[in-house]
Parts: sequence; structure tokens; C-alpha cells
Amino acid sequence: MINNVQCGHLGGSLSCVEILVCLYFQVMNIDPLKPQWEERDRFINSKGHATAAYYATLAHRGYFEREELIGSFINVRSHFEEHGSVSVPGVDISTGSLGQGVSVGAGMALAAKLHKRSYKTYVLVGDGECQEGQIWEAAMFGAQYELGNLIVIIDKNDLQVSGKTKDVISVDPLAQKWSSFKWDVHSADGHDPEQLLDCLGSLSEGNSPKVLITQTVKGKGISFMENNPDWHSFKKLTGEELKIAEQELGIKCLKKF
Amino acid sequence: MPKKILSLRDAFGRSLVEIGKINKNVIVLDADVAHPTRACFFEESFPDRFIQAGISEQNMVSVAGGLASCGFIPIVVCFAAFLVRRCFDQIYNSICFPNLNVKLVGGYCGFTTWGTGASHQTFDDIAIMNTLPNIAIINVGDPNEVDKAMKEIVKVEGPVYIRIGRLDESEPFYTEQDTFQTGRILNVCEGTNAAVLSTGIMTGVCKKALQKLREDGISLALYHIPTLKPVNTKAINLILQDFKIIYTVEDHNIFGGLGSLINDTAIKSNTGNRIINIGIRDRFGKCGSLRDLFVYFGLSEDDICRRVKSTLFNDHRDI
Repeated sequence: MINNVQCGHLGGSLSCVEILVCLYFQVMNIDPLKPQWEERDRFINSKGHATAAYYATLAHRGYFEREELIGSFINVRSHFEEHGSVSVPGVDISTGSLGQGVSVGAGMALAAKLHKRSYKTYVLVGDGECQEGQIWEAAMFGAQYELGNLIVIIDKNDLQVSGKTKDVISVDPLAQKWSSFKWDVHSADGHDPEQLLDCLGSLSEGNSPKVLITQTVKGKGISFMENNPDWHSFKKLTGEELKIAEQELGIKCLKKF
Repeated sequence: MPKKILSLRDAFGRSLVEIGKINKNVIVLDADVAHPTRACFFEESFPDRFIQAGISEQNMVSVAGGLASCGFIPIVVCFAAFLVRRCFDQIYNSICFPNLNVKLVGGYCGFTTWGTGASHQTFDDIAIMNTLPNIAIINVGDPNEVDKAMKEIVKVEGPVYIRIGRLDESEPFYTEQDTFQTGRILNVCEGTNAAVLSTGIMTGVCKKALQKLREDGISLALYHIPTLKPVNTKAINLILQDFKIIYTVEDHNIFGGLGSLINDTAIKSNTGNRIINIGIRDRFGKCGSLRDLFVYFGLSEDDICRRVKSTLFNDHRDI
């Protein structure tokens, strides 16, 4: 899909695939036929550039047809924007400008508490995104309002556009930071579905908001992309690279319909 | 609304309480300025629907987006400077792009936060918000109007920015019969020589200026334009056709505010008016007493009278 339009963010999409699959196929209480169902769990893709993985997950889960997505991703006449917008079925809020998702999620979680509804709100955040000050405003807010129904998942792939996160502006130690902001901190291997499901399934019902820091690999699954910041946004794949990618992922790329 | 209230923010606070009684989905968010904005009236009546976000306006605006997406009608109350300038990206991405039903209240707008100076003053908020699709911009200037406008915007779905100056002794120009509707223009005074188009708190000042001018035999019509987006082009065109000379008056930069909107409309409609824009001439704010600031920025009633007298009967360029 990305290769068809020669646009999109590969590395950061591949680092969160297992997280999205676990959420949408096991963890979240949702109904793809009723994307506006009031009792649904909410999801915010705060690292809004990871739409390739996000849209693909929504398509596989039945929110819309895969062919529709592949045929119209980033097409000016379609609603499949490169950064998700609410016109896409299943997308609860538009994102793209980093750092706002945890705040919006806090609003949704607060609404659930005030409406006495049991749904949970999940927010996927990048580790580089934690450089945004608003993340920490939201962290204080979540703890203050005891949003135990708010779960932030950090896709910690250690890379951002300009290189290693630790060399750009280090966000470490992330666990201690969130902990000192009074969040329940958990960790897991972001590419191990069993670990992810164990962790997401055993979160306490307490009043503290939860953060799950997942260690991931940017570009996971395609050897020449793994841990290489050059693949943050789109870079043209050679014929040979495409072949390697298909072999390693065990798929055959669908051409645009 | 008792007639004696002259303070715009007191009228706002009381209106919020009345709205809260009628509509259980209304929730108010504050960034540690509830007392000065009078959002505290709502906090006292409905503590469970009052969200103190602390000194973190950006988070507050995005939280409001999340609340709206789940069915609440958030009213975000803040100083206009920190709401509009600081949170523009949050308003853009967390509210306007997803078209969420959030009402943004910019208190202490213009130079009405008189003692605080440029950091707190806004001569740019209308211009900034005007670039956002989906949002309506309302600029009120009378306590009755504050109440009626607030009640109306809560009924209408979609994002709204309402600008409420800190004017504790306003010059009322609304009558009990006047109703608020988005886009409606209020004809405050009839007149023949020219028309004054003003917005927000400047309408009260203009009303007094026009009374003085009338004593000198100058008869100006006064139109109050609270809705700056969407612009009621049809009604403005009728005024532009009726009056050759137009004065626009605002407590905002003449670039990007009411003046620009009227100039733009006149050019598009090719009505050939002579338009004199009275407002802040591309300057930063200044602290001083409110009375002194009106004079400093050339927006006191005497300044308006002077500008009118120096321009009405001669075609010299207005400088």
C-alpha cells in the first residue's frame, strides 16, 4: 500500500503491528459494524504517522474493505489521509500533530467516568513523541483525575527522524518518569503477542492511569529497515528490496486496484 | 438576567450557571483563571462538571476534544491570549479538524486585561481563528448579549470561539427584545451621513461617540457585528449599498479583524465605498489603566469623534 503510492511511514508502522493486532483482535471491546457504538473501547493513534499499520488493522478487523484501502490510500478523493482523520470508520480522533493523543484520550476516559460507562481508552504513543511537553501535561492530568480507565502504550523503537532518540533528546528513563507522574508502569516486548496480551489482560482496575512501555524495533520484520532511521518516512524500494521484504514478511504485495 | 449587570464577565458567569441547569451535558474547563473569568460561578453550582486543568492550556483544549467526542459540550474558558496563541495547533487538530462540539471562551481579550500588557493582550485572535475551517467566531460587547449568545451557541453543534472582554462597566446597547442569532447584525442607531460597523466592546464606545457627534449635527448609523465568522455577507452588502462612507471599529489589529473583513466584502461586491478602518494599528499591547489604553490606541469616544470629523466631509486620506 505504501509502495503503491510511494508515500507513508514504514518504520514506525512496522514497530507497532503486534500492538495494534492484539488491541483490535483480542483486547478491545469493539464492533466494526457499529464504529460509533457508545460503549466501545476507544483507541487513539497518537503517533499519527503509523497509519499504514493502523488502517491495515482496521481493514482486517472489518471496518472497511482492504481493496478500498489499498486502492485509495493518500488519494485526494478518498478519506484515507496519511495521518488518520475521523472520516475513516473506526478512527475515533484525527491525529498527526504529535503529543495531543494522551490529552484527547484523557478527555475520553474522563467522559467515561462522568457518564459511568465502563469502556477503556487506549492511546498509542511513540517514544520520540514523549519529547512533546503536552504529553507530560496530560500525564499530570490523568493522575490528578484518577483515570484508571486510560491506558497509554508506548512504542519504544528508540529512533526518530534524525536518528537515535537518546542522541536527539533522550526521553530516558521513561519508566521512572511515568512512575514519578503517578502512573502504573508496565513493560513488555512489543513484538511478543503473548507478553502483550498477558500484560494488557492483567492491568489492575485501580484508579491510577496505566502506561505499558513496549520495547520495539523500528522497521520490524524487514531486515534492511530494522533499526534504521532512514526508513522513518517513505524511501523508494528497489525491485530487489521489495522482493526481500516480501520474502521476509511472507507476503505478496497487492497492486493498486 | 437582571438589568443592572454591567460587567461582561459577571454576565458570562451567571449565564454559564443557567446553561448548566438546562443542559446536563455542558461541562466547563478552566486553566486556573476561573475567578477572573467568572467560570467560578459554574464551579460553585456544578462542581462535578467543572474540570480544573491547571496551568496547562494545551492539554485542556485537547481534553475538551476528547470530552466532546464522547457527547459532552465542553466550554473551555481561558484568557484569550493563552487559548488562541498558545493552543492554536490543539484547536486546529483536536477540535476543528474533527469538527467537535467545543465552545472556546476567550476572556480578557483585546486590551481589556489592561494591567498586564502585551503578553496577555490579544489583537490577533480574530485573525488567527478566522483561518480555521468549521469554527464560528463571535465577539460580544453587551452583558445581555453575552447571556443570549452563550445560550445560543450551546444549542448549535460545532466549534465556536467567543470573545468576551473584561469590561466591568460596559455601555449596554442591547434591548430586552434583541435576540442573538449567529450572523445577525444589530442596527443600534439609525443615521444618514455614514455607517459605523463595530464589534465587541467597541459598539458601546461607538454608541456614546455617535451621541456626541449628533450634537454636532453629524448623523451616523451604528451596526453591531458580533459574528465575524461566518460573515453575513448579504446583510453587510446591504449596508455597503446604503452608505457611501463606512467606518469599521474594533479593539483588534486592523489587519485580519473586522476592518479587513469589511474591506474584503466591499472589494468582492464592488460597491465602491470609502472605508476607514479604526482599530489597533499593527502594534503590540501595552499596560495602563483601561481608560488610558482606549486613548493610547486611539479608540476612546473622543478619538472616534475626531476621526469621523476629520474624514467625513473631506476626501483626504485618513492617516
